[in-house]
Amino acid sequence: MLAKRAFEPDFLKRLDGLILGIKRARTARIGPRTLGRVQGIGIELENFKDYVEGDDLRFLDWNAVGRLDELFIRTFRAEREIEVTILIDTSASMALPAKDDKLGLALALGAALAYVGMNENDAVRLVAFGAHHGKTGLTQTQFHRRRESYLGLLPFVQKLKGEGAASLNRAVEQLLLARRQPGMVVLISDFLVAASDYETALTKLQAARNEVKVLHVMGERESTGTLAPGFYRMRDCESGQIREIVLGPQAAAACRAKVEQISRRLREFCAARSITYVAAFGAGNLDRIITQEFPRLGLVR
Amino acid sequence: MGFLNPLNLFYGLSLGLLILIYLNARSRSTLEVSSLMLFEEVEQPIAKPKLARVDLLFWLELATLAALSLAVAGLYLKLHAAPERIRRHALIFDTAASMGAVEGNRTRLDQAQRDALAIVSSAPASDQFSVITYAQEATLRHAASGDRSAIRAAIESLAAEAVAARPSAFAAALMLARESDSAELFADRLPAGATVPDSSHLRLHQIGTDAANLAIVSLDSGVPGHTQGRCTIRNFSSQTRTPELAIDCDGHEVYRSSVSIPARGQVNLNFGPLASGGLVHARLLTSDALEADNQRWTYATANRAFHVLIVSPDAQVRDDLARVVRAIDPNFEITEIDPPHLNGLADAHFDLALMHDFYDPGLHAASRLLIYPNRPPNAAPNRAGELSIGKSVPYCEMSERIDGGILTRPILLGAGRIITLPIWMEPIARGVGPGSVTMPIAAIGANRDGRLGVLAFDVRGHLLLDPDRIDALILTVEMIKSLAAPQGLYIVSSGTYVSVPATGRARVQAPDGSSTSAVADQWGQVRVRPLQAGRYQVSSAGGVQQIFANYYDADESDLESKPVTMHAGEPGAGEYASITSSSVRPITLLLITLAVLAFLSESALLAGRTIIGRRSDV
Repeated sequence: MLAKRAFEPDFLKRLDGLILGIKRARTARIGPRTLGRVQGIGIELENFKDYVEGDDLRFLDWNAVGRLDELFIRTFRAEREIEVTILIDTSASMALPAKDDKLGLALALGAALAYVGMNENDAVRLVAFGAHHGKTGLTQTQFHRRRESYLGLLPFVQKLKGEGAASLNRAVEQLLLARRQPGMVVLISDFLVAASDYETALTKLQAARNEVKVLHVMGERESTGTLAPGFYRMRDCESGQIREIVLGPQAAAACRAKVEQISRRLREFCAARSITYVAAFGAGNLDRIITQEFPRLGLVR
Repeated sequence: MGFLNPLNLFYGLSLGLLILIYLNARSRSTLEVSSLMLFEEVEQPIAKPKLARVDLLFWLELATLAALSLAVAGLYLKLHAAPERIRRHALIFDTAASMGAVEGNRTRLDQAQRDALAIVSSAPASDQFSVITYAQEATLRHAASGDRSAIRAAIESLAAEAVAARPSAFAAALMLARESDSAELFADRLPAGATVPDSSHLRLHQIGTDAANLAIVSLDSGVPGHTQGRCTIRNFSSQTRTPELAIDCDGHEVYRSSVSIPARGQVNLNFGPLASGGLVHARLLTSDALEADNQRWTYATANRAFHVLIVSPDAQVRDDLARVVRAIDPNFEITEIDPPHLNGLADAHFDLALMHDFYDPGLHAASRLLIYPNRPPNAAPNRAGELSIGKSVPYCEMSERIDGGILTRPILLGAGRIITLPIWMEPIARGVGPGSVTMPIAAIGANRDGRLGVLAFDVRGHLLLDPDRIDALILTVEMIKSLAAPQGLYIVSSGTYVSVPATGRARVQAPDGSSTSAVADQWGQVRVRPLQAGRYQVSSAGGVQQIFANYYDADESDLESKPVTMHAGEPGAGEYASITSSSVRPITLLLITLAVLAFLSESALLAGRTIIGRRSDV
């Protein structure tokens, strides 16, 4: 399973230099205090630097001026406390096509982002929505704040399977019932639901003042429509609906067009609401997505 | 069509394998997908695929495998060569009495006719058929002809006759069919004693199953007022039967009774004595399979003076004949005389004259019976149409009763005279003399001088009283009875010719109501041969003559089915279409050519698809 790769040392080593692209930092001190590596306003001295015009004179180190007669500005570590919720779609559709390992890709990406967040001592949790042991609803981890506890996510990741039907709106509603402080929500899904469903869900997340990131995960075969040609009785894994379809070049083209249509509409919706949208198509592109697409689209820096 | 190596059809299983592969490939597997949403834009198939709508490649592969399988199995065609000559088929029908037996709702002959018509219908148009029947004698009913309607009409016109089949008639029928390429024999049995030639072209269609039958074997009226009559009934079925018998005398019922007869048994019923003479008619009122032997006629002599003259040079013979005549009817007035003393009776008139070793045509008698006839030296020469008496033979043997009478075995009779019968006399019994010369033994007829019977054998030495030669006595008694019957009444066995006096054109009405016309010959006789049991009536300007035909034959009346084994001939009914000459021609080369063509077509199709695929990729 691809998700295991997110716990391999060499993979994690690549993530060490990455920082979640959070647009705004909060200073409200609720909960345990953590130290971040971002310079800014804080109470813990970080370093000294030469005074340049325009620096805030409040941070001028007067003791140094008196002793050395030079102007130094004290810099502090910024105070950051943000909850990162990585909401992963684990419905039945994420398990298909099986060879695409779409769920593995989603979990690997989610775990990677969790690692990046934990690297910054952010409070990170993984939340899965789908069906688990026959019951639909949310399954989540506790908040992890230190990267040393990252491996504690592995059992959770390993036990997740693609089951049940997905409803992003309902999952978000359940998530918001906890009434936690606004944070960052990374929604990882294939978005093979009605547009109104994910649009409502994303709108609700934003309405709760969360910073929302969207990872659109698709399998390689699924996104390109490369299925063995033939006459099939196709069954929707979530709704159970059956349709007879002849697969061939034309069907593959139609499938690609449909994926593009879904992706474009989601991207446009996200763009209109300042939601970061990342298309993660193909499990084989995991490294490229993390190292190239995430930074390019501002999900990490 | 056939196969040289049918076992190699095993390779045809490859066709089944191909079809299984095809069906598996065509089966619609269920594919679970993440969402049907992705395939919303995919066009729905215009028509649901059907198993029968298969790829052309499949048909080509199927044709290839089929052609190869058939080639390996050695498929060949049986080609019918053009008939080199017209084929002739003889349809031989047994029309004896047993073929008239009813089984179900039709007779055995009906079944034979139906089978024959089926053969005619299935035969090639160029074939010719002839229709031959046999019973007492063989008859060519229709010569070989390709006219199917005429052949069918000839077949449909056949009717069973109340006579027994003779082996000689059967042999004659086969002779008539000897020119035919094949002969189809329709019979329920072969005549007793018939020999079947080892001919490959004869095929028997045995008709009929076991059927129950009762028959009146004999009827004796007795002497009115003196002795009882006797009727013998025989049961030919394998179960006990209880028939009802009725006996009439001149239209008045004199006896009616039911009697239980054990399986394959026989009973004698006594009746009377009759109060008066007349025509006695016995009939079985219980219906059975064969109607012809269910009635019988005889004549009881009337209580009138009946003068019989017995003339013989031998006193013993005169005495024996007188005993016989008196046994027939004790009321007969008998006069015995030696020929030299016959002049004293020159003006006397007799009803019946029995002349032994003597013949005087000028004797006044209504009926005459010549026994061992001898023309006196001073007699006038024979006129045309008269009985001709030839030389004597030291012995003769009665070998056959022609009139249907019973002859258990050939009887050596002693001395005889060879006679030549005029056309108006009918032979009753035949025999052989020294050197196997065939000669008439007994005959009867009538001309303007009255009835005339003749027995060719000598009765000296108490021949008529010899129990070992009782058939001779029976023959004599029957002759005397026939001659003693009233004028205009003839009681004969069916199948025998009867000459009855007539004037001009006569109308002969058969028992079934059909009638034919005949013209009296120069002797004022009409020759009738009753082939049905019952009453015939011959009407002419000269008056009405009645003929009562009795039928009984132990072999024919026994309707038990006995399988007949014959040499298996060529194919018969329904197989005439394949009887024409044919040749076997394997078509292996053709099949292999077809397979190669199909294989090349498949390759071309695949190549074409590949080229089209590459272009579309570009």
